[in-house]
Amino acid sequence: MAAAATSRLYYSVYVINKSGSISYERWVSPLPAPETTANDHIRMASTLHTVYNMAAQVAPEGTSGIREVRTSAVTIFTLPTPTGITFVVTAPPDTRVKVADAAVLFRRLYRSYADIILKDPFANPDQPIRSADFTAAVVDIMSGR
Amino acid sequence: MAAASLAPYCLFIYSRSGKLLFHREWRAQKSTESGPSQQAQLLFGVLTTLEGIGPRLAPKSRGKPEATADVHYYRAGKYAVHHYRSGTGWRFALLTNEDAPDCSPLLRQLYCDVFVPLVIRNPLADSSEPIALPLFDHEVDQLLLRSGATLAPPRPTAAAAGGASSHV
Repeated sequence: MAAAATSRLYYSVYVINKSGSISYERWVSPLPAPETTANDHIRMASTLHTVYNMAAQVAPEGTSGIREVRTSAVTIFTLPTPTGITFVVTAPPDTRVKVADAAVLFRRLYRSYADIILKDPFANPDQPIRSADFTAAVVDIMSGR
Repeated sequence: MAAASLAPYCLFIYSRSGKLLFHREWRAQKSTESGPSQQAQLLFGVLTTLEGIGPRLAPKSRGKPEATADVHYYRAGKYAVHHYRSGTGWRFALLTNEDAPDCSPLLRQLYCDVFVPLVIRNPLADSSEPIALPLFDHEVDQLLLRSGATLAPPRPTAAAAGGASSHV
């Protein structure tokens, strides 16, 4: 059953839309999810957005999007896309996953997003994503199948 | 597999309140009108913001959740920033090439072996003022070289915070 599949390697997946709010999130770890309010979600996504822009200005030359953040609580991998949406995957702080490994994951997530969400004529990209098919695809990808 | 190289671009040291106390550059940064202090302020903002995000994304902890999580490093497309914050609030941030190995332990060493002896324990140095000790610069370079870094000759920082006089 899709609902039972969890990931040994990752904590969660987020899709953040152009305006900096969370379109989609899914906790995929067997560990308990953090308690967050709806406000937290909005704040977290817009924080990531802001940090992205600031980090781009810190760059020694050109612009650079954040790819990986390693903290004592969590590791964050992000994939900015040309259309302005950002995919975020979180993992344990001591994960052996590297940016290149996460890139493989992101490719699959991005492709599923394009196939299931973007090609749906009824889907509004700025609205939160509510698609059982997309969730099934996400769970599949994150559990390593 | 060959170990990833370490090429430091620049180092920032901040006081607990975010004041830039030290800045050393080994590679040209994007020139902005306001110079290094604007980059330093932005970086401080990035680091403190990232510290706040961590706990909100981590699994629910059994005890009381922390408010912040230490940031060890982050990697962007073309650069990486390694970070160490001491227990007393001094922050060390090192900009490097994007695939450099985690330098957070190196920064901790910098704090323990260079900063504390030369600045904190120095009766003549005011630790709330920008560091203006040539010996400090030298020791920083030496520590990085000993850790395998490839250092370009440091660039003069004529506009260092606090207006230190021109380099020798």
